[in-house]
Amino acid sequence: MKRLATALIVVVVALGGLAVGSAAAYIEPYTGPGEWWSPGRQAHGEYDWCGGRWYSNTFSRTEARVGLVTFINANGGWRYAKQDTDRQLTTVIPAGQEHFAKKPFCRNTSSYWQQGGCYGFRRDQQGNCT
Amino acid sequence: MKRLLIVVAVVGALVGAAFVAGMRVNVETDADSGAVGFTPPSTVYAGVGDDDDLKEFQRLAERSKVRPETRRVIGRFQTQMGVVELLVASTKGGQTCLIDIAPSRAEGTGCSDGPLFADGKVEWTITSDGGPDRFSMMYLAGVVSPGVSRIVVLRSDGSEQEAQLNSERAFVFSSTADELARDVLPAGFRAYNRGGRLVDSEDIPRLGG
Repeated sequence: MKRLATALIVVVVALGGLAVGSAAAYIEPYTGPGEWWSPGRQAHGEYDWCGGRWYSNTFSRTEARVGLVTFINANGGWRYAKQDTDRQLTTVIPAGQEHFAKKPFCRNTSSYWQQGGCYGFRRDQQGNCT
Repeated sequence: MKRLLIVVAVVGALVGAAFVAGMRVNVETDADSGAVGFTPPSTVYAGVGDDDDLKEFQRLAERSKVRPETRRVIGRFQTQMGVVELLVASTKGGQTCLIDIAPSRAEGTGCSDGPLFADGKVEWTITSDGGPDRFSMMYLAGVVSPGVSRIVVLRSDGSEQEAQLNSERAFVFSSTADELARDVLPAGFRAYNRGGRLVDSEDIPRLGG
């Protein structure tokens, strides 16, 4: 009986660990990784009304062309925008300040075609609507 | 039966503990990233698209992980909005990054293949907040190669102004509140060598356009 109790406690602890773990960060692409981007083409992820809060946004390109990443809040305003020619362009919201509704957005702001994709990291419990 | 249950429980505990430990590493990594360069979590899951797409993005994220020991501060610049900090760093994938930390502590990382200045004499980035119609903060930041002695920033109203280089050849050119109110934004730059010859230039697309 004592062993059974011990085993149950261990199982509960293990499941608790998994529950805590699932609240951590995860990657979420919002385009394909090697798509072709015409001049001015843009893309966005879903609003984080539900699921983990977006806290980083990256536009990864194969060429050194100008690109943009930002977050768009519920009013359509931009937050934490960045633009440059780097192949891996990332904007990161300060830890603890990601708790507002937003979606990631990226755009090929150059006048050239380029190839790449956009993704971000999200954190918090998945499916947690606020 | 009890023994079997115990074995299952122990294995479950080990898996759970390992999972939690992995996530704790992520949390610490995230905390690090708040100060000195974005480092994607080491364990990733979920996402949209097919598995191959996700794996490719995971590979890209892994490749762009900054190696902490390579981080180097190249400047702290006072602006109207507060201090902007610039750093350079290398990634596990052999990229070199310019990192800027805004007064809000928001962090931008731009990484290119190979060494710094592989794509030009000026490594630059534009960071902003607000917009897309009116911005509340905007600065052009960067670092120039040793061959550059002067960099001039062009504004959207046609005016221009030289940006001050520090001892590391880094600069931050911040738009004033008045400029932002009038929608006058950085529109490009020209970099000159000691002899006054133009060695690099960029016309920067309007951010909110």
